[in-house]
Amino acid sequence: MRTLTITVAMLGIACLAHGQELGNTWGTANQEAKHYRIVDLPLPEDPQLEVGSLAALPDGRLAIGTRRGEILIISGAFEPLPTPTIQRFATGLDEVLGLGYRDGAFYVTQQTEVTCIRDKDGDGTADSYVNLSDAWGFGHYHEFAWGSPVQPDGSVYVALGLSSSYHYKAPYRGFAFQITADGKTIPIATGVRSAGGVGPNEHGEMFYVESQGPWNGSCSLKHLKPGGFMGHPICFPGYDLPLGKLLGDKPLEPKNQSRLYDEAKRIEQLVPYAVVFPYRRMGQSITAFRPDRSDGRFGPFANQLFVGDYSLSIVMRATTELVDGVWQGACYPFREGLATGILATEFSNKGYLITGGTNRGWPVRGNRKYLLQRLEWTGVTPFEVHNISARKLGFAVTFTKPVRPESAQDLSNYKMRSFTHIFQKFYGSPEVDETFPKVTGVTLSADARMVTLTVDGLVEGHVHDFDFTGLRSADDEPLVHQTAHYTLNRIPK
Amino acid sequence: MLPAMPCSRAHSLALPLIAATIAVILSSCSQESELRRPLVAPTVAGLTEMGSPDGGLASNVRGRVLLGELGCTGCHDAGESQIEHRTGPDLKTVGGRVFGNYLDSFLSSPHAIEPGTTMPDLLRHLGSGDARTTAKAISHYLRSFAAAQPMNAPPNQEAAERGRGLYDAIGCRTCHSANEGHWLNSPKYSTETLQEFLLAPHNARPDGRMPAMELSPAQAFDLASFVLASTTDAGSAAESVEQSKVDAGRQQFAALGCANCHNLPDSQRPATAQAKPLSGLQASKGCLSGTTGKWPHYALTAIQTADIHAALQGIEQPLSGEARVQQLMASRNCFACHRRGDIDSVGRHENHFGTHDASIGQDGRIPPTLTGVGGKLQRDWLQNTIGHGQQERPYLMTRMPGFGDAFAAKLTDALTAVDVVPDVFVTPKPKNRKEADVIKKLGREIVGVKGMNCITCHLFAGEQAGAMGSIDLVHSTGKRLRPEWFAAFLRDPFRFKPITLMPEFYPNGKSTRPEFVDGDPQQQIDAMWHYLAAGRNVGKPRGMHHPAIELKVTDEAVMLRRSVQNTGKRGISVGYPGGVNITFDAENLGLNQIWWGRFVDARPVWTGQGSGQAHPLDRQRTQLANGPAFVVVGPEQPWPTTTRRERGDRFLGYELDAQQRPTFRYTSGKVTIEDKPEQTIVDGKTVLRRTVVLSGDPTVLHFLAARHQRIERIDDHTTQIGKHLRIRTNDHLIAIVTAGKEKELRVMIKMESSPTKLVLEYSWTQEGK
Repeated sequence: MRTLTITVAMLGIACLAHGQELGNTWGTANQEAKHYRIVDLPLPEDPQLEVGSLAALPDGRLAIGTRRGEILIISGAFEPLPTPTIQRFATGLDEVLGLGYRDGAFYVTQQTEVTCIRDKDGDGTADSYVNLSDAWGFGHYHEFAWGSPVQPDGSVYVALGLSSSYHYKAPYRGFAFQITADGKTIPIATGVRSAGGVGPNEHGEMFYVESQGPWNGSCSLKHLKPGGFMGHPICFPGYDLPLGKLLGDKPLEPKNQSRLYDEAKRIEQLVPYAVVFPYRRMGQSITAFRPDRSDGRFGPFANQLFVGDYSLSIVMRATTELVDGVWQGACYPFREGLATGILATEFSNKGYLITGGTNRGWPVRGNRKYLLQRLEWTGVTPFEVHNISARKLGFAVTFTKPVRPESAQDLSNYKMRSFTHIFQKFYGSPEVDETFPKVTGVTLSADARMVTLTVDGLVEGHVHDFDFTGLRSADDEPLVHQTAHYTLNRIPK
Repeated sequence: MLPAMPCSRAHSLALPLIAATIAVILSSCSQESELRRPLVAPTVAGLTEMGSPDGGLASNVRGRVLLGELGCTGCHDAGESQIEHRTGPDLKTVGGRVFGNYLDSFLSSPHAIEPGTTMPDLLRHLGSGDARTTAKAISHYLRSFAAAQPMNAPPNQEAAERGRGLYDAIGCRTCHSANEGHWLNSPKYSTETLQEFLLAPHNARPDGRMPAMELSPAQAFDLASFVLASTTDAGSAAESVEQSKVDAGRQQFAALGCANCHNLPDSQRPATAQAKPLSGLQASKGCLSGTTGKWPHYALTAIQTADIHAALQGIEQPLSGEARVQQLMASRNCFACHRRGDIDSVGRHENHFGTHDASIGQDGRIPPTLTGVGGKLQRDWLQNTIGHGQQERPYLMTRMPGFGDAFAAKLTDALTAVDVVPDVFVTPKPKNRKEADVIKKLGREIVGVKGMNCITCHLFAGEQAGAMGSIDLVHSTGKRLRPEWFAAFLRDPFRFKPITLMPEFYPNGKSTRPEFVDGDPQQQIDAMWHYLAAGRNVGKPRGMHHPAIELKVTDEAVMLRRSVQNTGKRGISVGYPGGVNITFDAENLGLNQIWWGRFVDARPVWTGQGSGQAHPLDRQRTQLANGPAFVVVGPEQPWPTTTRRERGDRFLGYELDAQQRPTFRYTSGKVTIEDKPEQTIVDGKTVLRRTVVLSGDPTVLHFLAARHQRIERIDDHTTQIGKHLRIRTNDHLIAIVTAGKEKELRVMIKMESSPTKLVLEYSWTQEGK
């Protein structure tokens, strides 16, 4: 028996530590706090909670995979007054950046492999570690493997970062694989640079997070389309290996200093980046994302994606839609001021959004080495952009509350700008090819929650920035966040 | 013989300068001498990309640069115009530096030999015979000052190969052609004289256009070898110097006005006449007329001529403000590497900039922008950097070279006159030492791991705490930056560098570390400044050195599945109670190392980015074998070197017992192996007993128990491995096989029934010592 149980004494409400507000990204923390509280989960110094992945268990407990290679199980994290206790379930793993639970087993993505871990003798600690796949090469510490939660069919999807984020020095770096429950390794996509989180979008399609760098002008959410090429060509030697051959022909080499939109027309496997997060305004290293499946217990954004950022210690929202066979969508500011670099997010069955991570190794705005925090909806609905969806002649924008008709009808309340990035082998990109599309018409829905905008100057392939600063709700409130960013890969026909 | 260049072929010559299109102008091919001696428009490196109509430098600025770079002000008095006069190379030493034959050829037709040279053709008004005679006389005159001619030696190919790497890396390509091996039509330098030139280019070329690249003698030799590697013609000996020609050359040297541009003291030489001053110059005559006469011939392009015309308007006044900065920067081609304001030609050289640390992003590869640099750097630092070069950013492959003191002073004046020091107040350092100490202590906390954690990305006094080595916080601060700039940059880094990886620590003016002095940005930033500005003797911040993280083993086994020294990245290390420790290699499927005593220090893998390798806290460590442990192989055959992936063998995982001890499961061919090491006590000593159970069809397998320099048989079942370790096996037959300098301990396993068991005991001969 090898159980470590630590109970943290909780003495009434005074100990319900509200997260300290730490420097802001959008300057909206005070407004956000009225609608979403940040609550620290009080946990002891040891074990070191360097959260790399999270999985809510069906029995209401929370499993944590850590960078130090442990799986810890926390009870009591979702009580109104959190009284967490920690149990050490497994140790001796390597950077657990993917964690899922299904039918009594954990499906763990670690640097070296995807492992199925069970507690066969029922003593509360793991005793069986079955290697489901170690098909990829691993020769450098900075070859990170990020894994999805286990999917309904028992599969785990893994995105393999390049060697040091730049090179191809071991087999299959830059590939994404599906690992089935019975241990088959199926190549899904190539061209990954430096992956962050992996998982299904709100429609159940598999996505992953990419960071700014070569061939990536900014961070983005990308569709792991089977057979797709995610943009970074250095992994092409992998097409000559046995698993790579299953993907067919190598894509054409992308042209340096071109545009993604143009190259995707030329290179059939190249998948346009679904949601681009403009650098700095919307994160600097986006990581983990999860859809909110809590049926409104987390507020008005049910079935939207919540995306963490490592550098800025923030959480953003994203929505996606399929247009003409290509995924695209928008990202929106949500909550700033978290305590550490966010590597993992997860929803509890009670509708809390749990965040965790570390600030070790890379610069992070949050100053805590590690901390588990939970975001709670206060029950007060914020006035926010709910969703932006592309239309043939513009966009449909929904809001969480009715919009005051006179402000909705005022075209000067809709400012737009479009831009794209240079698609290049050099690090990142400035925002280029800027245009200023004009909103020329607006129709307000009967319930006053949706405006349909007619826009002059939509640019296919560009990110479209929205600024709704002048809009007011029916109660005359301004929006908590005035901006949103839609990646228009296709204009609907 | 002079190389005879037909007009139509001149443009196909390789260029000594940037491979920009150089207009070939043959004013009129009516005379025989002109036919043989092409005229090629001069290439001014700093202007090649500045003439585009949609941006770049204004025409009059370009014209002023041309007036200096083409040496116009050697003959025409520049008055108050502050033209950056470019003098020619020093001629006192040219005869010892450059081959005599080259001098002959170059002087008689400079544009044929170095197309694009800024040296004008001064002999164009002469017939070809006269031109050749004149050139030869001047050549003899110049060579009469040299003690010895350069000696040629066969090129050193290894050095040339190294030189190629340097040429690509340190920035040569930003100014010079990539037209490798075709710089020179005939040999100009010997390797030694070019090496000498590269080491101290300002000696031979006091104009400073070729900056000092801060090379070591070996690097200069490599570069010289590379540049000269493919010159085919070994410099044949030139005619020996004849006094009559020297005397004639002296006269011609004076008459042609050579001394107006070139340094060559000679008291016997007649004085040279000056031309009219720039002010009031009639631009349709002489050099600018495009006709042939007793003046220097440049073959200016239409744009160059227009630029000079533009510059002559108002030439009485010097340029001021940004135009003056641009004039100076273009004269030294600073824009090839640096952006400043709207002038941005760096993108065209993107491929020429390399980095030693890609993790720093764009800042780690492209030389810094000079926008606002006069308000950023302290004056002395700035001037010293321009004058003598600076390698403040160790991750940039491109070097900042030195352009000499005189130019540095001028450019520094111009930059500081234009650029504004950010309007931010920085509290002066308190005079009271105790108060100063309090502030520095606060700064030290904020810089450290519990504060802004600057050291996770930045070097600190030459030491690197994290995985990144961004610019040094100590060396790059106190004497280098203006405190106001430091404060403004920390408040808003993106104002200065739009796509830097540097995070904002004061977004919207609010500190991200409110726990220090109530989050007051002023006090926090001032404290960091005074701490970092104190120089290299300040105390190190918290987090520079992480304490050891020893994984201690008590009553259960402890596992570390992360990189451990002496094993690959898929090593699985286990420390067992009682002081025995192993690493099982899940990549190669074998026991890789074994040691006695404490387990491991995990600090290198659990701090920073985790870039290191945990190390065994070892005593009596023995490396056993890398590579496959169980194979089918003949007794005398070499042990196979195929990888387990090539063989199709798999690592299946492991199960833990109640003491957390793993049983590793893996395959060899069709045999499944269950491998359980565990500590046990034999004769009062702790040993590692390893029980290996093999299941599958009957076969004969061989097991490699150890590969080591010293393996000795003790008895039928026991062997000594190295100094410390003994391995005892059960009934299977053992063999010691010589493999190169090492020996192998092999065990033959006849799988007559399934499962078959192999038991090994590892013990230490001097336990605990």
